[in-house]
Amino acid sequence: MTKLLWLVDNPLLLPDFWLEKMEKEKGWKIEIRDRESKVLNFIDYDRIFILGDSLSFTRERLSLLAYEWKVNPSKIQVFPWEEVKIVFPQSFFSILEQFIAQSLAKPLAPLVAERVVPENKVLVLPQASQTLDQALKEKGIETVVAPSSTLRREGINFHLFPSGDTVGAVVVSPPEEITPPVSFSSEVEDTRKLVDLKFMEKEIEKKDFRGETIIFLLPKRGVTEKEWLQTFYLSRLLAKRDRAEIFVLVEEVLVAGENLEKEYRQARSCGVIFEKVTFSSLFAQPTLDMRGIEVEFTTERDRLKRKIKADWLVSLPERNVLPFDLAPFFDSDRIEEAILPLANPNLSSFSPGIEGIFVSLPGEEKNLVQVIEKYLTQGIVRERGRVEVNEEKCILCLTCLRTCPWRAVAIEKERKKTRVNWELCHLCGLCASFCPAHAIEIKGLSFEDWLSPVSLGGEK
Amino acid sequence: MKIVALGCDKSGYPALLKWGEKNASPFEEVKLFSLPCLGLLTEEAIFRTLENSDALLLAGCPLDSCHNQNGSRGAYLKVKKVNALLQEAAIPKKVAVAFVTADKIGEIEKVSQELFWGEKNDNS
Amino acid sequence: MIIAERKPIKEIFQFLLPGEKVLVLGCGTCVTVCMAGGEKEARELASLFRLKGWKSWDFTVERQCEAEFNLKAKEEIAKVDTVVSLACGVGVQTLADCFPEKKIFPGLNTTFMGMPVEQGLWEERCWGCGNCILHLFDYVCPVTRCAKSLLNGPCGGSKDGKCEVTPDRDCAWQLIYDRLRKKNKLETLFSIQPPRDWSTSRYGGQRKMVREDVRL
Repeated sequence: MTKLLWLVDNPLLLPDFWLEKMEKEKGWKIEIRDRESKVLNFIDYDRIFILGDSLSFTRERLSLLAYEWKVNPSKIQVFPWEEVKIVFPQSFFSILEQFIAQSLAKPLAPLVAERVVPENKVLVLPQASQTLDQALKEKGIETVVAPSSTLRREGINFHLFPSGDTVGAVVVSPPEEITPPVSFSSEVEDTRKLVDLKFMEKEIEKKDFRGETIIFLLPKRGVTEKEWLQTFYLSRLLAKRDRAEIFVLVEEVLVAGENLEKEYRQARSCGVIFEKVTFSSLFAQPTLDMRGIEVEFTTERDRLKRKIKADWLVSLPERNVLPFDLAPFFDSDRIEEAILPLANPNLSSFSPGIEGIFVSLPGEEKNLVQVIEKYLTQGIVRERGRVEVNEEKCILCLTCLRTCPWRAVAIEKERKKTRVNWELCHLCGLCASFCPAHAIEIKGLSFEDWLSPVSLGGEK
Repeated sequence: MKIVALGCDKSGYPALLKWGEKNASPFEEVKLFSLPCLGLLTEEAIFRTLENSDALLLAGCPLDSCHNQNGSRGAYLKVKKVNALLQEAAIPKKVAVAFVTADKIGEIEKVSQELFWGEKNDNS
Repeated sequence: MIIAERKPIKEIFQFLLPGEKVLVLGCGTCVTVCMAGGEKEARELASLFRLKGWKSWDFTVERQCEAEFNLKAKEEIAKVDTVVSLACGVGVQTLADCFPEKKIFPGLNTTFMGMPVEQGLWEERCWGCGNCILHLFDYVCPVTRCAKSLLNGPCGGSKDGKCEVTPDRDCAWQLIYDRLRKKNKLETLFSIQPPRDWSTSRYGGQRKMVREDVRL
């Protein structure tokens, strides 16, 4: 006899004769409870079905329920009750029956939902500002300052070397004032010929730059792919349409990305000159008539000093750029140019997309500390055993490392094997779907495990 | 026409359900699946769903607000690759992905129109 | 590592007769890393065949260039009429030697020996010329990376650090010059490289290596 528990919002909707029929024919002993009522023991049931309000039961919420009920998360299934009822009332019961049969046919993956709580300590990089320090103290969060140590991820926490401390979160505190990626003296700014990319984008529609000299400046750090694309496009347009003389001074050209290489080559073929320059040796001053800017630089190619009188100097919009590179701090080979909070409304605020790392923004320290406190005390519920790496198949190509948005994948130092950190894994499945050796399995979520709850028969 | 619709349980699936309530009737069969994230999709899974259906409609969070940062982007890349392969192989089946939020289904309507009826309209 | 790319689908389809049973055999070493013929691609291609109406399965062995591994696929291969091998040229040949009675077709074009520069970008680094001189050129191989394989370069076609033959490739000699200059070792370029014995390369016919010390 298979024991099933159904949690519904309206118990009266299921007719008794159907339940009896199921028990007789299929051997399903179905127990129906109101969703709000308290069931004391969830462990006894073979499967738990949630019927109705399916939209609010995301994977994360199911993990949380599994943790609260102390059951294997793969036992819980959601059936979109209302939708099936509306769209296809005639075959509602047969769809439901099919769904249960499908679900019972799958063997259960050995999963455990666990709550992970990070250490109540915070590392501040490179240094906490006064307001941040105070806000953290008020909440009783201990801070560690160690800008020169190495960090390693172990579970949800970070380990500091050489001091051996363990911290639950890292707060990156970029310089308070927003600075342009390349800065110039105020005299240069007074010419009003120093503009940013956005200005150029607007002006190019209205103005003719015929015969003028325009210099674009792109530093190595903090330039987004979009800005590169824009630079290539604008410089090409200016060179081709207006026959302007265009120089693009760069520390390094980024051409790895969609269309970037194509645009770059097109720009070059239109006569745009790209020059590799060390920005520290760059010098700019206004011309005598204050109508242009004289830029002096040394090319990396032949160490020649060049002086160009530019009518326009195009730089990047102002932004916070982190003064140091964080890539070596993590068990990952991805290079992060600058850590900024992502503009993704679905991530927790102040998060640059890595769990446990927060970016402090000036003026918002109080909110940040609230977010951190919540993260450090509440912890997260994660499922242990979901992701399995088949070590025999794995060929250490590092694709998973590069594709994991949460940096949950690491290569074990001693054993040289791939390991997915379940405490950080969000079950997005990107690693598994990109793995060329098909070595990563996400249990209960691979193609064979998909359940089709709704099969909407059309009228035709 | 038999179609399969797949959405992530954060935004794609709710949106697909809403879309299905109104638009499912012309199809012979509409199968709906929910996944935690569209990043789980592999090219193989797409092909295998197409083995038993005529078209596949995916729905996920908008590219920049995917709950898993790159899930929708991954799905977009795969859909592009699969469509190129299908075209190269001259198989008259198609996949399309719509990036939606749970309550805005306009994008799905647009994408599905093109996916299911685009060619039909051209012929008539 | 050996880099390969999938043949155009239409070309692969031409190998197969209608109604045949097809096995797509992946290879789990080099071509897996360059995402051309691993288990993932084998599964993809097999399902594409099924979509197109063939009966098709997939299987992946560790390395198709070694007969011992290929024998693991014996049962799978016995079931089908045709095998599409997703291995490099070496693997396809070994496979054909193992199963002489089967129809075996190459599913990949083997392109070069190289390295992944970043995710999704591979570059040729070695030509297998049989006489390594990398140390003389600060580890930039002029034989491979210069379109003309010049040992006393550069030629007159180096422009803005790019090659005149394929303008999106770096000029190997520009790289050599830059790297040597950074190390203050430019004087190594003053010595003129004598003509090379190219017989160790492909020009001397098929190459063969016998190691008496490991032969039993």
